[in-house]
Amino acid sequence: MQLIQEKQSFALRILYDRYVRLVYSFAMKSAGDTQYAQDIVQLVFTRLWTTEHGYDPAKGKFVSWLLTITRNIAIDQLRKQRNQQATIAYEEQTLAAARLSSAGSDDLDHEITRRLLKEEIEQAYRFLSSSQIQLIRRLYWEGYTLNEIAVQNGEPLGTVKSRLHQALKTLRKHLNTIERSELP
Amino acid sequence: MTMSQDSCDTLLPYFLKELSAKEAEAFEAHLAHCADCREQLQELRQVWQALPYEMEEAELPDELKTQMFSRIQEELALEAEEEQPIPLPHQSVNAPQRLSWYRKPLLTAAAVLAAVIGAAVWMNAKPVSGPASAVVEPPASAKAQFVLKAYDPSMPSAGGTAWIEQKGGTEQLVLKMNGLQDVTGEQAYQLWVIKDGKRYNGGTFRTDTGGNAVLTCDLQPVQGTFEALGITLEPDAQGVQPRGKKVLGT
Repeated sequence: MQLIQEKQSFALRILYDRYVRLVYSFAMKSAGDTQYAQDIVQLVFTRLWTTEHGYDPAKGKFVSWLLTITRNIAIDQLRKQRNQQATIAYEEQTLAAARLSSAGSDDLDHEITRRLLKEEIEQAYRFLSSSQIQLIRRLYWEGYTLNEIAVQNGEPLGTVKSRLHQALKTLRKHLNTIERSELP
Repeated sequence: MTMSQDSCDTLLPYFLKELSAKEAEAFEAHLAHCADCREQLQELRQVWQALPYEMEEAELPDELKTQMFSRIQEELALEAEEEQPIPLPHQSVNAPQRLSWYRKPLLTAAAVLAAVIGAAVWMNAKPVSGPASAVVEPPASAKAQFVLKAYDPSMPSAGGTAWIEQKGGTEQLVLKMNGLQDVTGEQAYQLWVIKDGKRYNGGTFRTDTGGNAVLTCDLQPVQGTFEALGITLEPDAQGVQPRGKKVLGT
């Protein structure tokens, strides 16, 4: 048993060393608070280890899967902090959703690929209006729902939806890498 | 406005998981015969996946990194302890659902890592008191077992066993080997899973000081079956095709 424990912690160490900065950076971007980011790191890595729904290589790249889990945990925490009852049952949805949305892509493990992708996204962002950028910020990084955003902005839901639709369409148009690497 | 346009309109809320279960089901029914929505959904997923890469790589001081790791280990150790005292009779119905996560033992962790890092992990089975065989044995539930025989005259005492285990929804190949020479420098052993005449990289590994090694390999990429296994001694752990000599095989 002891040997197994040792192997466990060895394997955990590898995963941790490899991805902790990515998870931590995501959380920092999401809320900009180091304590929060530390909590997210802890939640993500313990979840990774204790979940029985493992990562399925056939369904896509590990990094995409890991980031989806990170986002779900991160926005779940943010929503809890905001004391909203509207929290979706992430416990069950997290992994199923993560598996679904992590379509295959190459080399996301490599920092250089990620940096190129970042540059490309920054380029693509230039084609967005400030209201579109703010919408993505609220929705993707802060985990507000479309309805909440519509209420905050005092706008009809339809307006928010079409703004998002346009924003994502514009981004997609300017994201060549993702298109090349994600298409089956 | 037609019914269909109404449905197409819920694509975004569906994608963002903001629909109730019932609404989501209704949309999925619509999705089944709306090619346009299916295409758009696919596109949404692609863009969505690119969004996180906008983030800056944050500063992460080594000290903090170490601190967080210790906390994670403590947390996992606590959970491992918690799962033991649960008496069997209560397990089925009354156990709070949350526990079901923690119950699936951490034993699969090495396999998780194996799946994560280029399909495999090497493990330096640390020399502990007692033979390694006391720890890794084919379980009664093992689906199939294979004998690994020595292939190279320079390592006549090499040998091992391999078996297939069901882990959750996937099949894992577990190999336990002994009598292998120590590797030097960058050298590594590499497992090849042969199916339909193709060689799939099953992962690289090194041995402990006694020439023993244990390796797990996810059989998903070959749909759980294969024709043969081969283990080669490679100049490094980066190869995608065998370059070194074959030392073990079925």
